[in-house]
Amino acid sequence: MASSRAVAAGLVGADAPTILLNGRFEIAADELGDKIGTSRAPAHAARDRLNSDHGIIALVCDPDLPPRPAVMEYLKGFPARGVLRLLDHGFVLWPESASHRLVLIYERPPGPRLVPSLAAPFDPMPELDIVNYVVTPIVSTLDELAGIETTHGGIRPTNLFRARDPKAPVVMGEIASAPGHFHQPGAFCTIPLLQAHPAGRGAGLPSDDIYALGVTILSLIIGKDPAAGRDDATLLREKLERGSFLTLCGQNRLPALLREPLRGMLEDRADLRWNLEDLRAWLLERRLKSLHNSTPDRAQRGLSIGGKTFYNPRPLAQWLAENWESVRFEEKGHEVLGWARRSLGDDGLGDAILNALEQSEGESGSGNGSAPFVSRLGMALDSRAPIRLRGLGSHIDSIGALLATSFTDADKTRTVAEIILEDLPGFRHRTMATPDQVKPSLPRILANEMRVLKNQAMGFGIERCLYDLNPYQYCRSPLVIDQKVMQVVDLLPALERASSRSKQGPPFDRHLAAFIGSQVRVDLQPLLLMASDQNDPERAALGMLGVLATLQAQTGGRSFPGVARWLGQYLAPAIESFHHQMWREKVAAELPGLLDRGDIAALYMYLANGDARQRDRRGYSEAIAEYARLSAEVSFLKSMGYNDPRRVQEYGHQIAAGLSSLLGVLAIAISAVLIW
Amino acid sequence: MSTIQNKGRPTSAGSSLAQFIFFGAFIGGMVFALPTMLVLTLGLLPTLVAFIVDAHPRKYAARSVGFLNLAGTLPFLVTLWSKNHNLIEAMRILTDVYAWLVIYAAAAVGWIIYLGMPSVAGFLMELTAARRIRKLDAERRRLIKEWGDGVNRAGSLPS
Repeated sequence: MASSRAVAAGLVGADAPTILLNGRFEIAADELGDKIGTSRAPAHAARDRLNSDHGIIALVCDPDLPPRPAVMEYLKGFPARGVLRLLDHGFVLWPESASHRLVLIYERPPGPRLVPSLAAPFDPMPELDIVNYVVTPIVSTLDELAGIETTHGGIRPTNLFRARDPKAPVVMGEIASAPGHFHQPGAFCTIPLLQAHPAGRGAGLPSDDIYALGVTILSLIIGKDPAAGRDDATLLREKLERGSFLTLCGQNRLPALLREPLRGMLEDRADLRWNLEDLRAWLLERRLKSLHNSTPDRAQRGLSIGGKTFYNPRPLAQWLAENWESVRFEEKGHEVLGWARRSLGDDGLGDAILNALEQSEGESGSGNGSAPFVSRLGMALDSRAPIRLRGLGSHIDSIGALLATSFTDADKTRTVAEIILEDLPGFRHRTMATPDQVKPSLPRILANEMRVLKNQAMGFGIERCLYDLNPYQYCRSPLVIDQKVMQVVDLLPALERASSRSKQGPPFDRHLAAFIGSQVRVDLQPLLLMASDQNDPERAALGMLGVLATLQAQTGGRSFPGVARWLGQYLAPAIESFHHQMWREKVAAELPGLLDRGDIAALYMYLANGDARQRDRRGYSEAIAEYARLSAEVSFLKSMGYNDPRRVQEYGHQIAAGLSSLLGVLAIAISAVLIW
Repeated sequence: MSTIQNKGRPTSAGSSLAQFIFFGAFIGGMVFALPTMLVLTLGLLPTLVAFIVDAHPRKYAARSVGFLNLAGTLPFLVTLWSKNHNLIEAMRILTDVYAWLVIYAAAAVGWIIYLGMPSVAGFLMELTAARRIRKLDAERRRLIKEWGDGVNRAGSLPS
């Protein structure tokens, strides 16, 4: 156990039990407390074996919270000074729980958090300090992050670190251990982010970081959370009604220096919000961007739905999202189209609504507001809003994260599946304000997941979507769920450990199949289809064995006797499928030895041996034909068919003729002998 | 069709040729060996009758009766040829009751064989079939033992 002093200092003591990551980083099992880590990724002391003077910490991620793999790749070794440096990441088997964890190795922050907690008021920061030591370094770092097409998604006072020196620039905290904006309090989220589930906020846009920076500045000025006492729903409603600036600044007196930049950064329209260029211009030259009127166009005539009258599309979209169950349209939604074209005069909006109407044609109850129809209509009305279905909101890039965090909730899982099946991401992409902000491959990936979802064979379905969309998702098979296996290479060892416990059912299920199918870079579809064949136990057994054999071959080919013996209990159909007694006896005699060896690939080759099976099948077919022929002859003989009187008579007469000939010749010969 | 016709022609031609040779030999015999032909013609009357009444193309009845009938007649023909081959000797044979008895008894044995053999054959066939069934059942049991019950798709088990 590490000494408390060593732990407090973030150092790994010489006598402390450690976990080794990637052969280089020693991680202490004891947590450092919440001073550095996040609520879902506690920090642990760590030591770099190659450079023991290098101050580092390890964040041990919550396996139930999907990380940001792209950010991990981008930030690994990223040289920016304004954000905690991610040195490495990898998986370890955590000793306490005997389960796998993703660990992120960061450079140790230069000091404590700028603000320990937003729950209580704190000392306000002088405005010049804010500009010099907060805004300036953050803008510089955001600029560098923009260069690698990454957003931060976690700018808030509690995620900023600063050396004890009050004149030192802040360093932004870690962002890779959770989905983008997941830990952001409501105040720090733009309206589109707030409209989504926390796990569905996604990476967001660079302008979302600027908005969060604005709220951070505001909270440092006033010394508290600007939205203290208001929940997310209230905050969203107020932001929609009054705008973010008024909602968050309220009656607080703002310093003249920061008033206009704050107004620019808290602008709700992303296209009008200050960008990095505007901030740089302000920081360097105190040049202020001229503010445009961001008040949305008001319709000449209101649209009445559900007893309310709407003059703007965005509040209508929000109302539809909140009242999707009760909404009823008198003209199957065409009244919304007419209102948008005639009263708002917005043809682009009209086209998007028409698109939603056309896509929803034929859906049962679309006229009375089927959930997908209401969702499409809401997206058409608000081009920045997330996909919202049955009260669940997600941006396109975070559907996987939302699925992962909701997987234990059957209703939410069904809703995410419906989002994919209804191609709502595709619709969102076509009608969104900033389609170029979404990676072009993402709609294609989600369209592919739609096909995966429709396939109900083992290795596909919602389970496969879960693993395809979340590369760091642990395998949720009940057989290994406690071990939180995140890499396919760890799956067979986990099954080997599970084999020593009570075994219920075969070492194969839908989750295992989907997990393997998603991570193994080999086309497993034929084997997965075999494993799903409920009508043919032999095919199912060989399919299961084939998938696990491929897994073993792909992951180093270690021996797994426990798994092999476990499998052996469910291979009867594959053994019985050998028809010839000789083969069965041979297999029965040789199988125990193979199982003990634990070589699943060899076991598969043995049982699925193509040549032997082919010979067995050919012989079996011939045996069936031969048996049928013999049976037909027996039936004929037993049915007295041979005793047909005509046949008997013919046969009898033949014998008679022959016998007479013989007797005649014999008699003649005897006569001849006697006479001579 | 043509195959059947082609097959039929030689048979018909052969039959005509046989008839021609038969009648030629008969006339020749009557001219040059009248005593022999007399004994032969009267002695083989049962065969002639069998030939006429037997509708079967292969003439089993005629063959069954004919061979024994000929065997019964041949000793008397040999006597005729070895003593005096004349009509007196032929008439002596033809008026000998014992000769008639031997010749017609032999023909009768032929008839008896012809008429009784189907019953014997039926019995023999039954025996053969039972033995064949036993052999087939043994073979079926071997197949089941070697390949399992699955080979018996029709549900026909060996007795």
